[in-house]
Amino acid sequence: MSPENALACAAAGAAVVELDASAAGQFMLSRPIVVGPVLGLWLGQPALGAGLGVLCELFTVEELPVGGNLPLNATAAVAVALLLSLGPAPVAPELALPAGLFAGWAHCKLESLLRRRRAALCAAVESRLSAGQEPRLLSLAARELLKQSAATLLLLTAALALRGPLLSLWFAAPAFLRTGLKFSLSASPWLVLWSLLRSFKVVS
Amino acid sequence: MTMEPGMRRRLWARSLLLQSCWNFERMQNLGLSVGIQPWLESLYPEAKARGEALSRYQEFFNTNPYMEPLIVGMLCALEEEAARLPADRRQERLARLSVLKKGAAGPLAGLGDAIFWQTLRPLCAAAALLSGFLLWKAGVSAAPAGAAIMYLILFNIPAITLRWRGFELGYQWRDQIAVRLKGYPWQVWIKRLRQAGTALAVVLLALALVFAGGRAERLVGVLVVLGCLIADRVAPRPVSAVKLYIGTAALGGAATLAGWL
Repeated sequence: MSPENALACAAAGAAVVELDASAAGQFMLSRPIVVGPVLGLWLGQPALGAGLGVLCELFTVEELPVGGNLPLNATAAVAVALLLSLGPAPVAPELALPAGLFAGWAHCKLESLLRRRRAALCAAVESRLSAGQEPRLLSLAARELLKQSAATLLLLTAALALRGPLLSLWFAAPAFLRTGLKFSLSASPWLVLWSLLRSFKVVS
Repeated sequence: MTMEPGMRRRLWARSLLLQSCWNFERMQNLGLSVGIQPWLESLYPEAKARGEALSRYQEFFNTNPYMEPLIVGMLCALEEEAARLPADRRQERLARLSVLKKGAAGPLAGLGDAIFWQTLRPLCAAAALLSGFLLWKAGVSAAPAGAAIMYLILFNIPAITLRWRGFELGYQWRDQIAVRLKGYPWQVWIKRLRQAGTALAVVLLALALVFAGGRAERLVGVLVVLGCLIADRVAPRPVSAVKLYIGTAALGGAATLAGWL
């Protein structure tokens, strides 16, 4: 399989697994600590996959997906970070990580839009029920899952398409920006371990 | 009374779709309707009665996904009771069902969030990281996969057990869910688990300090942790890890401009 095809398959797989984050299942298959090593193994760099997976896992460990709160999407973050840092013309991890975190934030906005649009479904189901018709709930749920998966795939594909311009920007970027990101990458393991420690702060 | 295994399997499979149609207006109402639909179909063979029953689930609903089977089990039992009653006495029972549904969703959401999101998820991450580190030090090449498997097993044993048993328990406990759950020392268990998590996180931090590449990396580690401590003391509320990361990048950039890096 060509590297481009392997990346496309990885993006498609990540788009399906992302559903586990909140839409369906929630077996934690979508957590970066799982997705990172799997994608890394698939793309031939298990150590990088595990490293970025652990960082993205712990960057989002304090984020709670409760009620209407939509935190940064950890699956999109690790998938984009890995898709950018592996394959042909790889992006340096110090750039891939913030790009991944940005993608996680963008995914959260995308999901928020999908959720807002779903308000119309409530009215549609109610009108079918009041008209004495079956609301076909299962196919409705399947359609919504398909939409969400497609939106995630779109985001991951966009990230892959932006790899070239991102690399050009990176090489043209001033030295202080590159050094700053390199420094923050080297500090990241400490930041996330701190975040992990803080996540256990006893709440009454 | 018991729930038939075939029906329980169907309810379980559909409970996995609780958040598939999540919306800001009524949150999980459509997901709950998807979940309870097989039970209502078995209770009300007539389309009109089934439609009326499904209409009852179109109001606002939100709970923790791992606790939903308990509520669905309770609703199944109450729907069954209501369906057996003559029509003139049914309305009163159905009104009570709606109140109980709303009354159970909030407290169970709070309990489920505290157990699964705030405690188990970080605890499993810490345990998986530690096991991955130990496997890596032992020379196992599949250490990352081992950590991932450990994470999935640790989280899913309680999660899947509760999701499967929840229907039966909710069905048996009926309107006594809150009373029965109060009988367990949840807060003590959560506190113990969080203490275990704290210990694991401290061990991980210590291991990171011991096995960091060199003196410079250790110094960066100590400074970053100290910086985070200060940031948490100074800021009115905890600063997220991502914000701390952005702040570190800005600091690194500023240090480069000043000629320190």
